[in-house]
Amino acid sequence: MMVGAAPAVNAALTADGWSTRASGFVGLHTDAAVGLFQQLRPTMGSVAVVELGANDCCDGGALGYQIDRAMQALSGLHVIWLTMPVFRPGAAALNQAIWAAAQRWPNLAIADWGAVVAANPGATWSDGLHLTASGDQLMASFLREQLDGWYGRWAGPSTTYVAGFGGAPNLNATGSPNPGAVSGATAYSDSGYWVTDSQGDVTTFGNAPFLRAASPDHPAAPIVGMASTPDRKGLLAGRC
Amino acid sequence: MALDQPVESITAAAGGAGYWLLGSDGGVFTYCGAAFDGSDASVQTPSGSASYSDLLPRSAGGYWLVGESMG
Repeated sequence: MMVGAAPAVNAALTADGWSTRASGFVGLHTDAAVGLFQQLRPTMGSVAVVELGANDCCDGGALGYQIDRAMQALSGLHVIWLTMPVFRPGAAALNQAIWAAAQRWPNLAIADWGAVVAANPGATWSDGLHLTASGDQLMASFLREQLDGWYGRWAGPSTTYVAGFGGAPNLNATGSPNPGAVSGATAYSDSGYWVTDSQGDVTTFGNAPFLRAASPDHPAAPIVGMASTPDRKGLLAGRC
Repeated sequence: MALDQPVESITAAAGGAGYWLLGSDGGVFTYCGAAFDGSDASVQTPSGSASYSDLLPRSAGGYWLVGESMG
């Protein structure tokens, strides 16, 4: 990350209970960082936050290749990769390469730092990239939010969780998903699905249509499985 | 084969071309030609992992893994 921001980030995260090691390097390219990741990987914890790309050339394809190498080096970790401010021509293409990588790596989440800077012009000096003192603090609080959000997935209240693989998009729920998902079914469109909890409360995701149960809700015995009808336009839920 | 966590579901691939077994830790095991598009079993978490319960296949390729976080 930015050299100047590392102390503020370390301080904010340590105060929040995180065991951190924030490191900043001047002029670090992504390809050089891969070697650093390989060296440090045995001593890393559960999650890595990466801010790289601003020193790379404006070839998004090349950055995508280097991100893949970095993700291989960081195998087994949850990785949060920051977008960069659009501080020079070509930066937008580099950000696109970062966003695209998330489609290839299910353990990669993108944190849109570039959007935060765009909304807070005083966060950077006139070059649009390097951070002012207030920018250091902004990055510290931004990273703390990102990490707390990730940790909350595991340590917070039980919530339904769905992960897409192999081109299956990550979709938003229609309404708040019920905790304790036990089963699901894919909708006809292939771009949505239903998830049920043990009480038979069904949450729809993507463009799956809302369906009303034909039998009474909340059966006496818990729901243990769900399947779509052969045409994938209806649902069947089973209890035992 | 020894599993780290028990199998939670079995799902047929489109057209009957194989099937998947899903472990509660997000491990995906393919059989008889079903495609492997990734799993969530290898990602470290601070306090265990999600508890997965179902695999939802897509006709166009890929799948979703459904579960709940360990709150």
